[in-house]
Amino acid sequence: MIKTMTRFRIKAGLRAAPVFWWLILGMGPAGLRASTAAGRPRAAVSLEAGMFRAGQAAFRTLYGNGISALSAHVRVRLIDGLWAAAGWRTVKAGGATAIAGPAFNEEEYALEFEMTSIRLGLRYAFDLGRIAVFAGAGGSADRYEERWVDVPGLGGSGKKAGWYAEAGGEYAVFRFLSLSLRGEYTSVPTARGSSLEPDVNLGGLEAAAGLVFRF
Amino acid sequence: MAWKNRRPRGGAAAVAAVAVLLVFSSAAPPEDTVLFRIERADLDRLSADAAAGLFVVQELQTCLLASGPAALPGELAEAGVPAVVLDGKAEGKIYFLVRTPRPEEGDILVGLGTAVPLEERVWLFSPASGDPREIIPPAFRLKRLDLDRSVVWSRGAPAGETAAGAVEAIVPDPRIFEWVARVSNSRLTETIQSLQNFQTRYASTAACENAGTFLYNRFVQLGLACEYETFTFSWAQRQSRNIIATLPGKAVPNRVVIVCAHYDSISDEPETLAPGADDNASGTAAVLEIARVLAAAPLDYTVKFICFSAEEWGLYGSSFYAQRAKSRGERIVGVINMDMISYTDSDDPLLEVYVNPASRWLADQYLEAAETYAPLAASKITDSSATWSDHSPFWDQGFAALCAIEESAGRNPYYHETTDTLDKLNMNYCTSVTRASLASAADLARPHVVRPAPPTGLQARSEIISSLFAAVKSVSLAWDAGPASVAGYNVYRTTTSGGGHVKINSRLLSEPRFSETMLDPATTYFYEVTAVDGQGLESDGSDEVRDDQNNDALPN
Ligand SMILES: [Zn+2]
Repeated sequence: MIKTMTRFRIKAGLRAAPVFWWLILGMGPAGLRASTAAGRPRAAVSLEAGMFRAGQAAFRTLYGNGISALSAHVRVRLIDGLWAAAGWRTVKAGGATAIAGPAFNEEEYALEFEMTSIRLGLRYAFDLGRIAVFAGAGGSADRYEERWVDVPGLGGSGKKAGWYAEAGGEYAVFRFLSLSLRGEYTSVPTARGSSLEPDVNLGGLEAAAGLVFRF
Repeated sequence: MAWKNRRPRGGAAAVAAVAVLLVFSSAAPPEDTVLFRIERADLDRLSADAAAGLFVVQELQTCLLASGPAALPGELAEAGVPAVVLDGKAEGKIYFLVRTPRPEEGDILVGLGTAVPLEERVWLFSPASGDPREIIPPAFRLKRLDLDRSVVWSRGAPAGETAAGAVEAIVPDPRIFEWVARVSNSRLTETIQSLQNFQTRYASTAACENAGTFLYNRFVQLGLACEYETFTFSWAQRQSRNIIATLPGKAVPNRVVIVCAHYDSISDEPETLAPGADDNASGTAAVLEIARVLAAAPLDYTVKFICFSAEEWGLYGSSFYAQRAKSRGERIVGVINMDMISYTDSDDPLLEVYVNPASRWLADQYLEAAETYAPLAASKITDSSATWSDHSPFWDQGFAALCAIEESAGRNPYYHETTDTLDKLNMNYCTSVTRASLASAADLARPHVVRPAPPTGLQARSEIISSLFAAVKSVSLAWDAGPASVAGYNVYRTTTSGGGHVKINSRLLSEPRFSETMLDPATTYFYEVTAVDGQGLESDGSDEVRDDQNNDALPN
């Protein structure tokens, strides 16, 4: 995992190198402190379900306007409103091929698409009592695969780096449990494509809602 | 002057090797042209370019007769190819290749001019005076050499080696069986008798010219277009005529199969009596009989029936024809020359078929046709030194040619005698050889078949089926349905417009449409379709279409 992240960091060429090293080396002790200290939560785990709308029309033509997404994040408070976040996200969809250019027979083949991302980022939250609002951003390491269900060998897969930005709010139902509502924008350029879209970016907009467990 | 006519070799890098050898020589002041021989066995030491640069006057089985500047033999020797100079001053001289009846008889030539043995029974001869035909006994066979022309020769395989897989197996054609059956023993006999009745056909005599007119009239009676080809030969500037009858091809008339024989004759009393029944009224009668049977036969290629003259003087008629055919770019598929095809002392006679290495495929085809249709047992003999009849000038010009001739073991004892008459001949044997030659010629010229018309109205549309990371092309073809005689269609595809089409349907298509998918979206494909009738005969290809040719048309 650390190895993957390190490779990802180098690949992505992110400028925030010191922050990442601090996060990786310091997360264990910080989490331990959070669970034992009284007062304001120092760590949180969120589980969310979302609806993803791809940014490129080609993707939407093939897989529809909205596809389901699941994500889980772990956050650790660094200083007052600033949180470090590590997360996992997956989107999965079924679809069908489309005709690029003139269409006559409109031959069609079933498709499957799946993308799993691991992310690291920072979030700043304003605590307004039971409600908190936040905004954040980070990098992602993304693994994607597209398959033509009935035609072995056709499709494409790969590993790429991307980024995300998010904003949203949390409502504290209990001291240890909040509801969250979040929007995020992702970008995953693949530098690959096809007749339909020569330069595929697997990013888009997502609206997600879920539960946040705070410690 | 031979040297002047050497092929151009100046700037071409490809002939660098020979240039080193030869440009040096040509840079020197004009010098004598020498005639020399090199052994075939030594040719391996010569680069391909240097070998191609040789000016070869005659190809023989064991050696090449070549000419060049005086310094060339020395330079060749330095390259490890010993060249034996035969004549240090060959310009303006007239040379013949002489085949002696027996090995020891070459000595006769020595007293008559310059004579050098080249191989057993093959001599190079330049007469001291007079025309060699008039000073050398008739049993000696002559070929006039042309020192101004380099012949086409093959560096390749030595004698006797068979050409591998050169000929497709003959598919027996019932029409050829019918034609072969129509070859008439009595007509052959009648023609030989008629030719013998001219008393002599010694080229230069009036009787020979009358025989030529007789042959011309026979061809005309068969309804064939016929022409005289007049040429000059011998010291005395004599003239004679080749008789050329043409049966035009139905499909590819510019490809030509030649069936030929010499009609002139010789004996030791040539001016008055040279009946030449076996040599070569027999071959001439076969040409006429094959022409008679095939006159109405539908063949794809043109067949030319040629009776050559002045063969006995040194292959003059056939040399004249072959050179002119080469100059006018005649596309000769193969030459079947018959010379002495009716004498045998065997109950089970064999036919000998002589070819040079480049013509071995033709002998294979002839042997298979003979066995399939005649039937007749024949043996193939690859011998570049078999220069003694009218096939040889065709070899010199690079055409495939063979000579069909009776078995050498029991060759005619009346050869070139006044006693070479019809009564000595075996006309069943003559009939069999004629049948074999007819079958070979008809097979070579491709019996015409009426094929279905190519389909019309071929249209093609293509679409690209794509996902995010992959795409395939799908092509749909449709064409006009053929007439009821069409049993189905085949579809051919290529990625190079105009050629290389490969059939892509595994079974005959019953409907006039076809589609395929999973093609490379980045490749442009081109299609042709053919129609196939109930007998399995396939049409030529339709007009070719590009896969997206009709994408702009209104949707279906
Ligand atoms: Zn002859």
